[in-house]
Amino acid sequence: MAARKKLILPFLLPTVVLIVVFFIWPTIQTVQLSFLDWQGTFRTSGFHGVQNYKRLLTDPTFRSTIGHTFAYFFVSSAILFPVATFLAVALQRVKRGKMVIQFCIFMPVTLSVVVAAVLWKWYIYDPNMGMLNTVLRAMGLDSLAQAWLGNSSTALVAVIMMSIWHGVATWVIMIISGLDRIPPELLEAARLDGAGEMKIFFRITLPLLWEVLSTLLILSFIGSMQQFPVVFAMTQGGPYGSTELMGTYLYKVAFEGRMFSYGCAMAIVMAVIILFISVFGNRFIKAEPIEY
Amino acid sequence: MKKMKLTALLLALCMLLSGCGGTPAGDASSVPSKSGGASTPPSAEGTEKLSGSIEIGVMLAEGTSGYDFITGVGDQLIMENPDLQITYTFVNTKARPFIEQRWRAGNPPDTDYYDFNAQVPSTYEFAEHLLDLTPYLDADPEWRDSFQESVSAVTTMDGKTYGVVTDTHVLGLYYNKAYFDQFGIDPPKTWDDLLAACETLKANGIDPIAITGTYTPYMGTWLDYLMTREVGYTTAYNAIRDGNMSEIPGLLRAAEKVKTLVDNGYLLKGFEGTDFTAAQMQFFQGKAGMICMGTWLSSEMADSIPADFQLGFCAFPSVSTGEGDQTEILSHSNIMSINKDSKNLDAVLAFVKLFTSAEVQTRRAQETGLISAVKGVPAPAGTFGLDETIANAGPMRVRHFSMEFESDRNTAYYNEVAKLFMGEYTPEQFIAGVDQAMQAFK
Repeated sequence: MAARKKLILPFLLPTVVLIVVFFIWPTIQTVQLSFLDWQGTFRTSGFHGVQNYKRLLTDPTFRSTIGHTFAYFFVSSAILFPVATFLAVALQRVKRGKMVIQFCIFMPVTLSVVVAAVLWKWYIYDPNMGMLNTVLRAMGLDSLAQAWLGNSSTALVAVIMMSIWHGVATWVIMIISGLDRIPPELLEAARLDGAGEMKIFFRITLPLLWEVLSTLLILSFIGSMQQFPVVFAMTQGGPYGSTELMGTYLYKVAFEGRMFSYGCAMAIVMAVIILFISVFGNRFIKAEPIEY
Repeated sequence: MKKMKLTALLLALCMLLSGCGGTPAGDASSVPSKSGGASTPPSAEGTEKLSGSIEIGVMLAEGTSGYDFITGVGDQLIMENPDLQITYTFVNTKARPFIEQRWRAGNPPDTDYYDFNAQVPSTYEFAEHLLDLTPYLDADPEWRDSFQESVSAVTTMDGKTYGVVTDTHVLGLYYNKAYFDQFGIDPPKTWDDLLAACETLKANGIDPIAITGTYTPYMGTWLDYLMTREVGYTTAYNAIRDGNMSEIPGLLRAAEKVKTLVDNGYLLKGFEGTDFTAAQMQFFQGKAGMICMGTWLSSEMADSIPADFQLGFCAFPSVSTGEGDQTEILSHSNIMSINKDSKNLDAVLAFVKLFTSAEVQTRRAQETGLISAVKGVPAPAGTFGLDETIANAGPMRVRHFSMEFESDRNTAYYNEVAKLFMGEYTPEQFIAGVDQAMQAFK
């Protein structure tokens, strides 16, 4: 046994070294930097205490980005999960044209997120050249045509819709894998007992799928907290900060404003929020495993 | 034996990791001394062939004609000095954070952009790391005097020159000359002329002004200019930063003029959600009659400008109530600076001198459409009025009140500007909003 333990060490060592060098050490440095006052390229003062964290509490932009980020999570989840679940169930059942539907669902995710964002910005949402307003006007709904990304009440939802279009395929794949785990005999037995398809879905499929969905919900939360490229490519946080998320604000503070220590403090707070809500959220939404 | 094998494995791994780590860039011992040839002007040209290697920071991405031009200049230098090697490093946009970390670590490229501008206080921290070119320029008066006087204001601080302008851009009013000729409109010289031009264009079914709402600094250029015209650049600059705009009536007049543009429907329909490239496209497609933009517009949109498009350019109009210098011109100059600890200063200086020579700058203006800061280099052809505007330009001032180098202040200010343009604010609310937003930076 002791010899076996010695054998394990060289195999584990590369991974451990990589984790220490690329994860643990940078994390320690980030924490350390958050207590300094590194601004600009060369200006680093000594220990700055918790000043950066105090500043976060009084930074109105940071507070608003927390609100926007949670709004992003709730709205995107409210749209994404029903759509992804519907598509996954449909893909499982559809017989004809399955390849075409699969292509339509999976094609967007093959595009770079920035390319997809720019495509939507120019060809869907542009008030003059965009498809959305053109279609609305063609339908006689001119009053609904507007500057989607330039209106503070529509910009965030517009960004979310693009994000869902781009990423829905990933969720569909994971939900399909959850659906595949449900024994077909259960569904067959329900049908034999006279249950309708809707009843089967809500009373059997959905409860058995909940374990997968709850995990995806946590992943969706983490993804929302870290969202950056879509917003940056489409609105850069505008109009007047209405789409500014924690991720985009952190980038601006650290890399455009060169307030690296303040950015590190922000990153630490973000990490704590993600960790706290992921752990407790997971406990809250996880249901007892269903034995079957 | 097993222990020895394990130890050997660990040692090998450590050696591998230390090899991957690269040179300790921040180690003082790896940085050459400050003398390094920096304190004495270079020897007379042509006496000695250049050798060794230099790393040139470039602003244009690989694959663009501008990048090819720069490497062509390098090739020219290498032809004269076969033992010289030149590498090119992209130092713009997304590469900036990485390049600045290299500066911090003590191994920056030999030349760089964006690290100094005498009108941008946030860049002053770089000065002690940059080569003071004053003795080199004094040693070569022809080179020193070749630059236009107006741009030296951005390279010189406290009597020391920390860079050379490789190209400059002025912001002004582009117009569709065909429309102007067709409707009998003269390029607007005053604000009243501009309003009259807008009215004529609008009456003919053309959106008068193409403007973006998603890139706020470009949108704010109108207001920046109006404030500069009303009270002068320096007064506006200080009032914004000090958060006391409400004490200067001229700034309210500037905001009211913007409100007039918005209320009269002179701005591109749907500008609030229009990206700046899309706004530029609308202008070149004839959907709008004017656009306030920098002179990079014609080269940036070269592939999208219809062959028969007649592009006109004039200075931003003056205002009759203005207390400021009505010829002040907002600009953006690209400044190439040199790392004072460069190990091959003679070669770096030779490259910079060649790049800013009248011959190379003339070729560059013709081939890439950029405007040179070197005297006697003609402005790129194809834009009516550009030469005249540049010849009559007053003092050049850094665009966006230099806030693009201070992202937090920039965001706070231009968020308020966006609210004015998008009708969320009255002019009075805008002034109060900026004053309040700037309190956070005191």
